[in-house]
Amino acid sequence: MCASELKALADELRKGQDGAYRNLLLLDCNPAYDLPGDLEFVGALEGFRGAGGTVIHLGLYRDETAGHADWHLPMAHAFETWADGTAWDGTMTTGQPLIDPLYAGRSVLEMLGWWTKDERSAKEQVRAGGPADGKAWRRALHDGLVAGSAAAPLQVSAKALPAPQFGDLSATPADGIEVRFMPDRHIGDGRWANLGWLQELPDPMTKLTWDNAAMMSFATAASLGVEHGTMVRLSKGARSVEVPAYLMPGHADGCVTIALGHGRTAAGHVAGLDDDEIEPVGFDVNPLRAHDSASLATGVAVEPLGKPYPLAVTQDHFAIDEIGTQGREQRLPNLVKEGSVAEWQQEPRFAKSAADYWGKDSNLWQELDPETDDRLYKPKHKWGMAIDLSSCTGCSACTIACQAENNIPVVGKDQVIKGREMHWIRMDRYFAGDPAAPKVMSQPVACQHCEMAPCEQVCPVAATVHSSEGLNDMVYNRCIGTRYCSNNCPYKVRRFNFFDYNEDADQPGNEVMKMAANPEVTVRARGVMEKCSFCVQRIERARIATRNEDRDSRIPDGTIETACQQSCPTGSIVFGDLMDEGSQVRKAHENPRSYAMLAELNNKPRNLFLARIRNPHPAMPAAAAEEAVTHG
Amino acid sequence: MADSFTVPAAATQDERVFPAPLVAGTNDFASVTETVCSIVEAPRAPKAWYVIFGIAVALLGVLGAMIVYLVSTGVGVWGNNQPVAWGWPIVNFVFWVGIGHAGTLISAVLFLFRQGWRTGINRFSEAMTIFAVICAGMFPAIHVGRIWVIWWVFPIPNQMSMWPNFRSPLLWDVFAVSTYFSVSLLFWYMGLVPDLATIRDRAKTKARRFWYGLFSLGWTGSNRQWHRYERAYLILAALATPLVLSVHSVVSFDFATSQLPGWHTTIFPPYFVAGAIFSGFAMVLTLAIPARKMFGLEDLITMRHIENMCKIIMATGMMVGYAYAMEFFMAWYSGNTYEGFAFVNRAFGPYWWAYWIMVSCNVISPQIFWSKKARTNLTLVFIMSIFVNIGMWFERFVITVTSLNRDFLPSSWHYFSPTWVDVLTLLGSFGLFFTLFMLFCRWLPQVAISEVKNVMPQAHPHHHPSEGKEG
Amino acid sequence: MEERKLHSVMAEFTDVNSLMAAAERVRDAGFRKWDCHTPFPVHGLDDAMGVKMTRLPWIVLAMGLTGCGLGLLLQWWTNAYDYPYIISGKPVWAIPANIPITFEVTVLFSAFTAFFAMWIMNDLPRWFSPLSRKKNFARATDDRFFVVIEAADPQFDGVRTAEFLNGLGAASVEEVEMPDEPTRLPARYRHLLFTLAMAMLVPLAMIYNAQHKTSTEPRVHLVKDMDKQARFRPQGETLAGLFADGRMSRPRIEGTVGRGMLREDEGLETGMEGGEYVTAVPSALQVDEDFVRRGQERFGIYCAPCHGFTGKGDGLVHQRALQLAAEGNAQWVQPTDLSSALVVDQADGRLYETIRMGRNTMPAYASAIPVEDRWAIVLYVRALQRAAAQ
Repeated sequence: MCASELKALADELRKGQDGAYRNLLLLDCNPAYDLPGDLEFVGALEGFRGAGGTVIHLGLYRDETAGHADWHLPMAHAFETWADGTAWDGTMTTGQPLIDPLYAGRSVLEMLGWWTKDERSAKEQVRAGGPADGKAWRRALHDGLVAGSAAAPLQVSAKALPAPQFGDLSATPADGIEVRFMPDRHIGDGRWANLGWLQELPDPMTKLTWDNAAMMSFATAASLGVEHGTMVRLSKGARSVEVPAYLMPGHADGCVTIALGHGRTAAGHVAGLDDDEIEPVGFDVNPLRAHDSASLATGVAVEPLGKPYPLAVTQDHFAIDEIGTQGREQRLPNLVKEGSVAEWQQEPRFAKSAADYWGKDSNLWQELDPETDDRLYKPKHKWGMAIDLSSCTGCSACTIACQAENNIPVVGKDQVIKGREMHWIRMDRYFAGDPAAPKVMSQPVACQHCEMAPCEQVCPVAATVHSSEGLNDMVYNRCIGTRYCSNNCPYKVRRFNFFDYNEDADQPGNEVMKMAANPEVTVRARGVMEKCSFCVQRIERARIATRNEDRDSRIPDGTIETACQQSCPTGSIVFGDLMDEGSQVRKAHENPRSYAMLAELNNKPRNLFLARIRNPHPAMPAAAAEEAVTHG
Repeated sequence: MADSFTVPAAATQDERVFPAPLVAGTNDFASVTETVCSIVEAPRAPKAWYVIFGIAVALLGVLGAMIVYLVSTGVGVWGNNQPVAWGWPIVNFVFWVGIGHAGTLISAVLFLFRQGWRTGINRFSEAMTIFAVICAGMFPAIHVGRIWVIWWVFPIPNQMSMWPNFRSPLLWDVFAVSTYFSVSLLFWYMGLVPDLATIRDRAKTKARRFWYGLFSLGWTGSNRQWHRYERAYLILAALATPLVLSVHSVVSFDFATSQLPGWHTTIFPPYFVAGAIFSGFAMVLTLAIPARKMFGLEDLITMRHIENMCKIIMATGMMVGYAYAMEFFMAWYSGNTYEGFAFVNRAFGPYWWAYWIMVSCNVISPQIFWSKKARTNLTLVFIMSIFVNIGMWFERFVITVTSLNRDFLPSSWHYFSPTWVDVLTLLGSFGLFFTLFMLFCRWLPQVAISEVKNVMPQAHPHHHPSEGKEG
Repeated sequence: MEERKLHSVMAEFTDVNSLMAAAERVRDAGFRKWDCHTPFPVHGLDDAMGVKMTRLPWIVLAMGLTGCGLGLLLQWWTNAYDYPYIISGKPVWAIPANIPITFEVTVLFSAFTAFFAMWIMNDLPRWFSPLSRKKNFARATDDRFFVVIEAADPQFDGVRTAEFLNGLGAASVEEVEMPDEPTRLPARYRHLLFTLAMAMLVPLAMIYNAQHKTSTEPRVHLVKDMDKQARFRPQGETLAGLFADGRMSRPRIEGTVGRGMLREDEGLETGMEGGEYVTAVPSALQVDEDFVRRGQERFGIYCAPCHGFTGKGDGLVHQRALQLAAEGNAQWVQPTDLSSALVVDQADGRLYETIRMGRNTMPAYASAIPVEDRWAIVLYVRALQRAAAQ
């Protein structure tokens, strides 16, 4: 619905019996929360009901809208229902249920069917829209779309249009501050607010979890007198919201960006539930929005309130003092290596340091070689991984995939503030250079599975040992929790279970939480250390399958995909067998761009990074900044 | 009769010409015995003892409560986080172990150097060592995530066929600290036996005669027994000397064998040992100065003892200061960016206040002891000894926390703050220490009676024995 | 007055000088079983008495070296021999890493030896001595010095020895009687110790009992740790409230098709096409010698136990069944002879179906043998049939 239609609807509802509607069906939406505040939709709903109208809400949660409806009906999840859809070109798509409904909900199709007195089940409805032939139908279900059902393209001719006229384009708005409302990068418009995974996944740019904040540039903050991590009031006319401020390097001046989807009052026990006195997470900025400028508000007044607000940020980045900033600037070129095209063309191995060439003779002792040493298991594989920084966008899908695959707990805002988030692979985001126009560098860091791992040496009970295939194995049931391994890891990829983060799942009534866990991975108890295992459960599954079939022990490249690799949208992460000459990971390791992070510590990581090649157009301002930072 | 001569208790003469006597006042063997044993035999302890003991037991209760809370809830009740996985408990561990070393130094090393003045304070400090090591040993035990399986650090055959990893410095710690505790305990007990026999022989009540008799093993002071006893004492002293050096070196290996900038330096073993002696002597002073007043031991723990301890504090304090300077120099000279940053960060980063407390308490304040007036001003010495221990606690804090809080990757930099549980656990450990110490003061001879008698002038025969037949 | 047996004669001295002089005289007089008792070790008294250097240091040295060896052995045997694992790529046996513990163990052994050997050699603890009955002797640990000559000494004479001691400048000389009271622990203490010792056996007995008995009750489990985890096992059960059938593994929903589960090629998957058995191996498979050899290998694993390696139906299971049937413990039908005319006439697809779905008493092998392997076995059966026909 566009803005004017929404306004019209709200007005109609307010008319009650005199208006055009008697019943309002709200299917899988939450307008009482996420519509722009000026529509005052809650008032419209209540007015509608008060005047005899009936509001029926079908939704996954008893959310804000359900609280203002006469009827709330539980909806079956998309994974539990039959559904169909239409692609952009008219192709019919199919949706199948994965599992019987956990809570006996109904799908949207069934709801509409019931409303229109259509007695068919959702499955029958969807079947009716597909091809009649059974075989074709099975193929359609398998592929997810009905082949050949695209609409026929229309012949159109283009009409010449006058050149667009742009008004005065100034870098900063003339009056007040511009506020841009964006859907939260993880919880969207709020529909996924109650998912702890998403609340705790740090925003790729701000690294903020569990809250939204008003992002603004340093210059704007200075001119307004706003300090980082303090509350500000954004007001336009009679409407205002109070939100914490986040000083963001590289943000445009005169503008504030804030995410939607937070501050919900009826999302659930994770994100806020007034009925059970659970505080809302984050701040609801919908009251500030107007229906005709739902994603951008101009002329907003920003008033600093001075009250400090704790923001759960996983990287204390620029809040660091001068010494920290200097330290960071000094070492960044060594950690996240980048080069221009010219550099790469001149010397493809520009990212390598002397340490990258250290071989077996770099040590004072005879290095252990499982391939020849009789006391150790003979390895059939040599696992390794490579992450290409050139194609990594910093989206953090790897972080969530890893959390899903490996039963990584959600720890909550207080624990993130303390620095105890549990993600095994994290997306490090650095700013380099001028804070007003910085270069952003992203680097996913997981366990490097070092061949000479510093963590293994110091564990008193040998809870972390090296497999002959190259994996650094963390043995949970041997760990007594001295945490020396975490201290000695220079990459700080080890996570410690400071509390029993899974105790909620053991409470009566929370059984269903256990279903979220991957049955192939141990759920760690309090007091043990954990870290990336190169998805050892997937490696073992492939190994067992191969052995069952008594095939040649070589597992074909691509059979084993780690969760992070599987979910990476750009394919930056490759994992495989370095013994396999044709494998992707072997090629990546032999790529001249590859380098080991902190190679000079002689840890010999099996997880190499491929240096990023930046290629800005010479005419763009970024190119000049690029020069300054890379060679500064 | 034994000759005795009167010397004012507070006099300290020019030691190069005529060292002050080790036992001041008009004392002979009997009065020494009486001075020390009367404390144990007194029907009621001095009032101050009850006050201190009461506070100590209360703090001990707090410690117990904190440990129960910790074990039932998780290590997260402390301020530890990623990357600062070691916080106050490890700082407290190194602090207490360091304090313990002074006792062995006084007992063993000063014995080997034939320093007679050790006899006034060695019983005291050996007891302090044992109680400090108990407090120290508690911390690694409770700081692990799963205390109920901590026995896996010992090479005990188990159903998993697993053995501990002997290459780990933490395991070296286990062996070193347990050996240190056992040897110190044996050494202390061995020294106690003749004195317990003394109390047994003076005992008026049956209970006292039974218990002191039991623990004095039937000692009668036979010279043939003294002969072997002295041999064993010498051997234990000779063993304890490298032991005390090795134990704190092994504790320093917890840091030195890691890769972290600021930890990974070879100066740590001697630096830690010097620091341990530094803090240990300070603690001996903190305990001895009030105790000698409270229990009337001024003639046995004289100003000469106090002054010597102040001099040792100054010497080791300067060694520690040298180590600080060396670390800075090496960080700069090495050209290693991480190492250099680590030290600039210590002095000027978010924990600069801890660093400067450390420097002022450890390096600057002990310089006051160049002045004899300062060394003999008991109030000043007492206050200084507390400063020294505060400084040494902060030293361990600076070492542990600043290197962890900002190490290689800036993305993992994070601030550490302690929680109330951290604070109460530290206070509680003082409660444990003082409870044990007060019990020691009340029920055991605080001064090594037989050893003090041995250094009195009356103990040295003028008669030189002639060689004769064996008997 | 009863005649009491003498233990020794005791002389008290007031200072070290007189003691030393007296000791020399006693030594020179040739006494052997005698001693001095002093509140502190008097320097020079050993020589005055003629006491020889003790062997204790040698014992300590020997035990110290033993400790050193044991420390090294412990580390080598556990980490390098019994259960070596890769730690940081470092060598499995490296002395520098093992030095700290070896040193500590050496000191531990030496110190314990020094301590315990000293007491043992001193014949302590000995909680009763006849000397302790004498009131004056209490000052032996205070400020007086004693010379005691035992009656057991060959040169001892009750009267003359006392006179001799008197002449040495003693402050007093006394006789020490042998005790006539029992020197053993009083009965009630012995009974108490015995009871305690017995009581300590009780926990051991309980442990032994628990380890050698079985029970339907789960063991007492104080700390659950990861023995019970907040996840469901694939074959596990769940509360009926979650799913009515109580199963955790959920069946596939009727009518859904998973990715990679299309199985369009009916002939390949089921051996039937359009209701009829296929008569040849589906063309999707590449049939060559390797394929048939694979079939042979698989046949040997899955089929031969019953059907025998030649397919005649004389496998090991059959032979065992015959034995049991002969004892009256089994009813058995011989597995089909695969070369019999009945099977030779069956279409390939029917053979495939038999493998996949089972037949009569033969179970379905669909879950154990993947699709390709089933066809390989079919081909191998044909090969067996051809061999039998020749």
